[in-house]
Amino acid sequence: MPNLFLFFLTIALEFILIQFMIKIPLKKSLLYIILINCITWPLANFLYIYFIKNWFMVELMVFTGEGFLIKKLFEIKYTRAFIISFILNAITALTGYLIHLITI
Amino acid sequence: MLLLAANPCWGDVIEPGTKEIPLYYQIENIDNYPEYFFLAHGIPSPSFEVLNSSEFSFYKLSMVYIYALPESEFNPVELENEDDSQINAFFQNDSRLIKSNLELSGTFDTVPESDKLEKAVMILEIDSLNDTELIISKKQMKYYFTDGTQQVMDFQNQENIPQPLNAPEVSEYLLYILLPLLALGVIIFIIWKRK
Repeated sequence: MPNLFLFFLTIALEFILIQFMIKIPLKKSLLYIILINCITWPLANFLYIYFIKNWFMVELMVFTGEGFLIKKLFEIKYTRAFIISFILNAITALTGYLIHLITI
Repeated sequence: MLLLAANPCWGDVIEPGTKEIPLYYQIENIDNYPEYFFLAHGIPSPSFEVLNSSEFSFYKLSMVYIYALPESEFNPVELENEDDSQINAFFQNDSRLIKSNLELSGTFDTVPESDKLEKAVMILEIDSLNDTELIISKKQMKYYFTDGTQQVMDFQNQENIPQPLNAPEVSEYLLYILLPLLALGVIIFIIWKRK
C-alpha cells in the first residue's frame, strides 16, 4: 500500500497554498481539494506502481487532470486553473522529493 | 515532452518514491566442480571474491565476470597481499584464468516504494567448464517479497529476465479505483447541482 501520510500531506499543502490563489469559503475549498486528490492521488499511484514507471510522466498527468478539475470545481478560467495546478503540483512534488532525500 | 517521457537519470541517487532492489547471484552447481576455484572480479569492485554455493552481490554500478582457476595451479592467498592494480593485471593477463561468458550487473531494478518486492536472486548454472572455457547460463530468478512470500521464475531465454508477477491486492483496488470513482461521482453531483 502507498504511504497514506503523503496523501494527507498533499491535501494539507494544496489546501494551504490554494488559499493564496482562490478566494472561496474555507470549507468549500477543503472539500474541493479533498475530492480532487481522491481522484488524482490514487490513480497516479496505481499507474506508477503497475503501468508507467516514469515519475515525470505521472506528475504531468496529475497536473493535467488537476487543471481540469480545478477549473470545473473552482469555476475559474482554464489558463488560471492550469497555472494553479502547476504551482500546486510543483510544490507538492518538490516536497515529496525532499522527504525522499531525507528518508533514504 | 520527449525529455519528460524519457526515464530520468538520477546517477547514484534513486528516483523519488522508488527503492532499489538488490540483485544477488548464486551458482547452483558450483559444488560439482571441487577441482576449481571460482572468483568474481569486477570494475570498480570487487577486486576479487572467492565464490562458493552461497549468494553473492556487489556494488550496483560494477560489471563483473566470473573466473575459474584449477585448484592445483592457484591459491587465493596469492591475491590477498596484492594491491588493486596488481589484481587487475592478474585478471587481465594470467593465462591460468578461465573467463566466463557472462557479464553480471549489480542492480536488478528500481520499483515504487510501495512495491512488495524486496530482493532478487539470479540462479546461475555452470553448463561446461574445461581448460579454455567457462560457460554459465541463467537458470532462474527468485523474488523475495516483504510479506515473506517468494516467486521462482524460469528463464525462457538468456536475454530477458523473467519479471515477478505483481498484482494489486483487493484493498489496493478499493483505494485506487473505488475512491476515485466515488470522488468523481461527488464532483459530477456538485457540478450538476449548480445548473
